[in-house]
Amino acid sequence: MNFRLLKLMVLIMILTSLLSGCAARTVAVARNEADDQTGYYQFTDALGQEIRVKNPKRVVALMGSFADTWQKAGGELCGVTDDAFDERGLELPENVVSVGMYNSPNLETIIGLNPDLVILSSETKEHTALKEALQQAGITAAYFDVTYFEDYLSMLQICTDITGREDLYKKNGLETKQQIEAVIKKNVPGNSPRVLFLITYSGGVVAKNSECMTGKMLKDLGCINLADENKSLLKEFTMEAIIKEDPDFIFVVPMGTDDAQANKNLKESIEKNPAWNGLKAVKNQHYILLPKEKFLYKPNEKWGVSYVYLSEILSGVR
Amino acid sequence: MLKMEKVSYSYHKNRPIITNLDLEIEAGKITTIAGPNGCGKSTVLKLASRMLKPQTGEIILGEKNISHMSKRAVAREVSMLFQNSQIPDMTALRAVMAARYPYQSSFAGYTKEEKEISECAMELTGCKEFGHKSMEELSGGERQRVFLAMIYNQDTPLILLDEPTTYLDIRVTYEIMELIGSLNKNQKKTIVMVLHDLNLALQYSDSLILMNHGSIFNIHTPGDNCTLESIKTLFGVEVRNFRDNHNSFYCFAQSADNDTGI
Amino acid sequence: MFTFLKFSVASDKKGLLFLMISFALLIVSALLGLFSGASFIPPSVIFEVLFSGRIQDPVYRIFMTVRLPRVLGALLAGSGLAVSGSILQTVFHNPLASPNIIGVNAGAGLFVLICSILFPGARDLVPFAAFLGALLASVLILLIAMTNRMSQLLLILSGFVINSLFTAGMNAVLILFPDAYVGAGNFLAGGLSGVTTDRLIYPTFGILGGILLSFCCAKELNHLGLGAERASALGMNVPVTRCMAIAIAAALAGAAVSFAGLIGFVGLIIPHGVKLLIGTDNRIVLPGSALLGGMFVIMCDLFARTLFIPYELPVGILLAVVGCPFFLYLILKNRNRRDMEC
Repeated sequence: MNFRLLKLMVLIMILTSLLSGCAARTVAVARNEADDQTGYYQFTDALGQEIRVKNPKRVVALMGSFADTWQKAGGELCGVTDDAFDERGLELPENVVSVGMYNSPNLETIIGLNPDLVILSSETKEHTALKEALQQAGITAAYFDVTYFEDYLSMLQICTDITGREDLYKKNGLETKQQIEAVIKKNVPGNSPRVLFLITYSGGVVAKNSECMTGKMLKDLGCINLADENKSLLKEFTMEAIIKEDPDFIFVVPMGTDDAQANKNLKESIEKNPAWNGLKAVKNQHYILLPKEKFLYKPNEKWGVSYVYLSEILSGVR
Repeated sequence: MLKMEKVSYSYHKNRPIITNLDLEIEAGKITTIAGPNGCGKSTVLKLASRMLKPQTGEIILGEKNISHMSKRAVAREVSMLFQNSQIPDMTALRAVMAARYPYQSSFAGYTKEEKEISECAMELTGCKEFGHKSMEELSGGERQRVFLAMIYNQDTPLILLDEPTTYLDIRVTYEIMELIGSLNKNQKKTIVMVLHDLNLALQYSDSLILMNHGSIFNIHTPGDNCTLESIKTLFGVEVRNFRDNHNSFYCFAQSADNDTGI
Repeated sequence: MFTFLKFSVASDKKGLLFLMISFALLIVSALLGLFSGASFIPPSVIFEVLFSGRIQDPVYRIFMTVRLPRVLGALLAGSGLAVSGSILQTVFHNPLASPNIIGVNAGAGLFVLICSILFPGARDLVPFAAFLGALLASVLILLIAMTNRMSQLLLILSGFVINSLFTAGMNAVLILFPDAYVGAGNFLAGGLSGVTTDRLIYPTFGILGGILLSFCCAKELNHLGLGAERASALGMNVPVTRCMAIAIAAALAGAAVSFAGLIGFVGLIIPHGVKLLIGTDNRIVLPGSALLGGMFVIMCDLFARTLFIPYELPVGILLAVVGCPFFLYLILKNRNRRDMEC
């Protein structure tokens, strides 16, 4: 009796695994085979996948800035992550559902919305982890990587091609591009200030080089980022290094939701240091706290405004 | 039954415990090995059970060299009671049943016959009642009975016991010694013991091997005249023998002249 | 080969009852896991959609691509890690030995990361890389344990050192190759979100096979509990048995880590819990650990994804929050038992 019972248990376990194996195969085939093949727009996403969409009406965006970009391209959303509400303050219709936080999206909720398209970030590990599951569920998932304005522009182009709203591409893309080019041209040649760009978060303070969004903006405007030359600044941020370099400008952006804590960190780790006040940038009032909406979150169509803001600081107008 | 020829062993380099030892154990008898601390008696036992491998010399069990036999074959010929070893993490009954391992094939289960044999063994050594208790819950004396039941269950012609009565109270000590005696008389097992208690050694052994500094000091049959003299010389103690109708009593006291140089 | 299942000793009736109850609990938890989730779908609807074959229906997709893989993954990871921990505790005769404490998981993790850098696309290689890493860590620990008669404390300290070594290795890899971080998914924290059934195929064989093999060695593992000296004196080849057992434990842990990341707790707590409930006979403890380990992770994963809908908690937090109080309760209940002393 005992022997048979255990044999039964073992059999059940083996059957379950076989069942799951079969399930995997059937689900993977469950794509939209039936519809006609015309009217599809095809593009390659940031992970190298070939994406085909046809007039998607139910779209889920897993990052606030992507949700914004899609809306600015004239598209409609049915699901977003919390940062779309909290940080971007997007205007969204009542029926738009939250699918979790941008770094912890809920797969079940996403699938439950039965979306035509899901927009994800190729730089976020929690998003790339969902790639296979979405594929198995037969849901089109497009990954984007937006760090610089050019990336936003190409994403906007793809989105407006999907929605067919070329006018919005002009308004929210090309016009901003012109604005940026104008600002860069205005920049007085020969004026190459040496700058330091810092990001504060609850864990401390970190220096960033020209490869990040704001860093590139500064570089475009002719600045020399100390972290570009002195790579050790990226890892170890020490007062001695700062004093030695003595930058002309110090820009700071607080990351995370707790501004108070971020500023407190700044004061604790840097400003309390008496050598701080001896720095050129501090003495000349060139120690600037930058607003999050322009310099931490992707400004999207307002990218040009961010460039203008910086340029005004650098030229002394602001 | 067991022969050691020119056996040497050292735990650390340059500090040999035993050098060129020749030893013979007679079948069917109870032999006790005694001697001062560090004389090598436990090492002899470990070599005999193949726990240790001799650096020189040979150990012959019956007709065969012990190092040429398989582990299971040795386990069917020699069983050992360990001193101060790890307490088994199981119930007493399962520990006793485990002693049938040398007779089972790999991956075989426990059969009903084995369970019955094991329970018999436990009954003989007086530990059947606590068969279902975990070994950790038992007292020292109860545990020793279980280990003896294991020895009984392992059913080997040669039994080695390393200080079987340490930590036991005097009543339990004599009960255990009686059990050992019956193993020899009724089961015809050859017993080799290491004992500190010379009273027990003299009362229960057929042969007494005294060791010192890794070699044999003397071999005696308890009861003959020179035994007590040897003990006196080896340990530096005074010995007196008292007899009545049933028992022999030995009394030890510190020697007046205390220069045995140990 | 299956004679080990003959429960002829009376006290094993209690063990068999325990296993049956555990099996029932496992089935119940699996059903709960399959029928609960972030979207509330009544079971009747699920059945209807499953049997109607409407593959496009979101209910079908949710069930097949989210719930089924997660429950299956939780079952496999839980049972694999629990049995692995049980074996390690027996082989090292140490109540603190478990795959995550002595570095077996970390070893698997390091090799998975290295594999994903050297062979970026090769998903199929991951379980084997995990097994190799787990095996390497286990062998190191075993070598250290065998060099001399080490105390239990020193063994755990050595395990801690090995664990730190491999964890540092993982962090180094992630710093030098930041792309691996993105591809590593939720690896370091450990979790089952995004797991798909095709990633479970090799681990299923590894874990089921390993568990069955461990059942076959249950008696030998019991004898190891006599102590190395005694077991050897009874004719058992202790080194070979240890190596075999460790290889099985490594295979189980590696397979679990390959898709679930670094999950702790299960390997330590479940075997202890089972032993406190039902004694130390491995013929009961091993299957019991497999069943209750699977149940435990299924339930914790269920809570992780349903407590704060639509937010998902990392499953490691749930394992700790649920596991610790229960374990403390078991310890207090058994406070008179001497075998809890180290």
